[in-house]
Amino acid sequence: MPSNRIARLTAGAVAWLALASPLMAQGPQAFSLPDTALAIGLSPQAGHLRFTPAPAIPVAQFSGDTLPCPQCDPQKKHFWVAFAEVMAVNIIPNLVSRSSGQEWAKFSLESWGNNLTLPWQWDNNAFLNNQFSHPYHGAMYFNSARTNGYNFWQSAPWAFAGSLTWELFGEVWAPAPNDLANTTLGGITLGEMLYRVSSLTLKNEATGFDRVVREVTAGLLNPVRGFNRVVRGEAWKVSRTPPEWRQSTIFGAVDVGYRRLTVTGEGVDENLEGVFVTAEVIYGDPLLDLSKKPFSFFSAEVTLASNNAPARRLTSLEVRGGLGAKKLGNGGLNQLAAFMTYDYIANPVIEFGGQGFYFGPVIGHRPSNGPRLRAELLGQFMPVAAVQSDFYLTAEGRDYDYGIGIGGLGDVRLTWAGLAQIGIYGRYVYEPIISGFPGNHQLFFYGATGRIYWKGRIGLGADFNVLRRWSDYYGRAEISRKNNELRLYVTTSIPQWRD
Amino acid sequence: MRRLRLLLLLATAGTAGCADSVITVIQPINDRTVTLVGDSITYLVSDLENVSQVDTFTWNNPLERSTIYHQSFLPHGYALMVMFDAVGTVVDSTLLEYQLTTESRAGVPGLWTILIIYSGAWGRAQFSLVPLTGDPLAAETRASPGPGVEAVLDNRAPASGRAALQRWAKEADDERRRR
Repeated sequence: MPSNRIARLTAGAVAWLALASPLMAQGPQAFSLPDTALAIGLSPQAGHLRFTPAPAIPVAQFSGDTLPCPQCDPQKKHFWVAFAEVMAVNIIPNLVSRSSGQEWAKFSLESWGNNLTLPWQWDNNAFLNNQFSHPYHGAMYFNSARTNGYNFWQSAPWAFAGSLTWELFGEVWAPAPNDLANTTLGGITLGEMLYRVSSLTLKNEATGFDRVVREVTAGLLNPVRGFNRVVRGEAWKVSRTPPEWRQSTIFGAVDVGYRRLTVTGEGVDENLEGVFVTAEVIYGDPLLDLSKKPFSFFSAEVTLASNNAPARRLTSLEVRGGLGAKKLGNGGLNQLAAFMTYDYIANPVIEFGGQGFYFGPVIGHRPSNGPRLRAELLGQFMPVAAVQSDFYLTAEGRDYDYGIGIGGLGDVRLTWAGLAQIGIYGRYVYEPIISGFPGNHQLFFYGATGRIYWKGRIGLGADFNVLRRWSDYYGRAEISRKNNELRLYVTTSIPQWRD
Repeated sequence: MRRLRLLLLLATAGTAGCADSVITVIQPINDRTVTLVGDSITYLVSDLENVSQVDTFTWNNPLERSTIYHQSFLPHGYALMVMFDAVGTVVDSTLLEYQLTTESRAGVPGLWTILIIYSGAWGRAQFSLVPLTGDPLAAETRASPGPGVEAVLDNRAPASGRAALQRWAKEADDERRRR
């Protein structure tokens, strides 16, 4: 292919990336809809969606069964390629830092010996670094295995091993237990989410410009996968798209609107007004897909907001994926389910980040007429959680305490298909502090949400959320902060899933 | 089996970091230097190996505040710097950092005392202090008695080294009172 054509295609691809989303890049599918999708009016009866009221049809039938499917399960595992990629994920940032003269990157046999024999230390990196950058790095370790033929459970140890090798051998700094936990657990959750979202983007039957857009988008979402596809020639080879790359139920939404924060406590009483945008993906059916492979159901939600100082505009990033479920009783939708979670919340009152697990009953009721019910009561354990501190402040930028997180979540939602959804929730987290200022934190999140829809795609919504933090430090008076949040917004589903 | 061995090796390596070596103090080999250049001062101690002690020096600061240019590299352990102004008020307390510039609070110009509290420190402690003009808060800051070293350490010291730091901080406080 002439180089100028490649350049044109690349430029066009980059230009389109601003508009392209993994969901928009999906191929034709037949969908069934989760409760949330029904709530915003995405129903097979919505004419503009051109839904075919037919049972789910495997993608392969659209693309032709005659094409080979080399990427269908079971795939050949490439252990040494995965190993080399984990090493590359470690070595590349090290070399970049080393070339800029960073002492911490100049490891030696002596530094390895020290890291193997001296005590580990909790580090003092800023919140964004430890709660987002490290988990994202972990997602690359995870995908080094995941995109080389390993399944979810087989890939999880790779995130741990990648993080451990970095901590011990990739830098001179003392190994940090928080880094190992953040990178491993966050890497697994973000990694599988990115693997599945990039799968949605890819379509092996596509050719030409459409193919370039898909491959570049997938490569940006999941760089390790993009690299592997180019090296193996999969990025341009026409073949069948593996059916497991598609999910029968997928929903995306964007909320845009007004946000008012009322911050109280410790002599502060102020209102902060601004705008926000929230993007949400619900992958899989939140009831029917819980017992399937890990992350056959997951939800991911990211919110950016103005006037969020001293926190950054990235107000929240929350991912929750199903690990498995067991049916409760005979028939019905009630299940005992386990989830893996990633939380990043940063607002003027609470910085909260952590990775962990939920476990408990999920109740579902879907009558042929009337509202659908989904309720869950889950216990939570987070091996590592970070909560904003009032006293632990370092020049390097750390302003939060580390501990384990123990708590629970209750959530009840009623959905009128194609018309409305209402819900209430409450969540509690107790964090005894392990690193930081001695004491403990308690967080309480609760609120209500309501949405009503018009013509399927467009709707109006209102949320009221309360975040409370009680911090009890040894030798200090208890500190209580509260943050009421009112959101009024327009919501729209994306994409228009039409053929 | 080979893969399993590799994973076991990594896991073993990850849990092996418990052995500590002998606690030491600053020795001639560490080339401790305190260099005055104009009104600025630079502190340097290198090749530290598991050093735990309190070090101190004084500095004649002609202005109300100080800029601190951190250039330490302490991969293991900690070192905390506590800065007292001419009347003994704490105007700053901070971990010695790798590459960072910070500023102290305002205090009374004159002979300032700098404490460096080491706890299992490995590597190099290095920073420079440069006089900085005070701000309007200076008078208010001077009026405040300021927290004692122990209170400051309560707030700033990493949990793992806090007990040792508090003990040395008390000694440092006593020494300061004697002076």
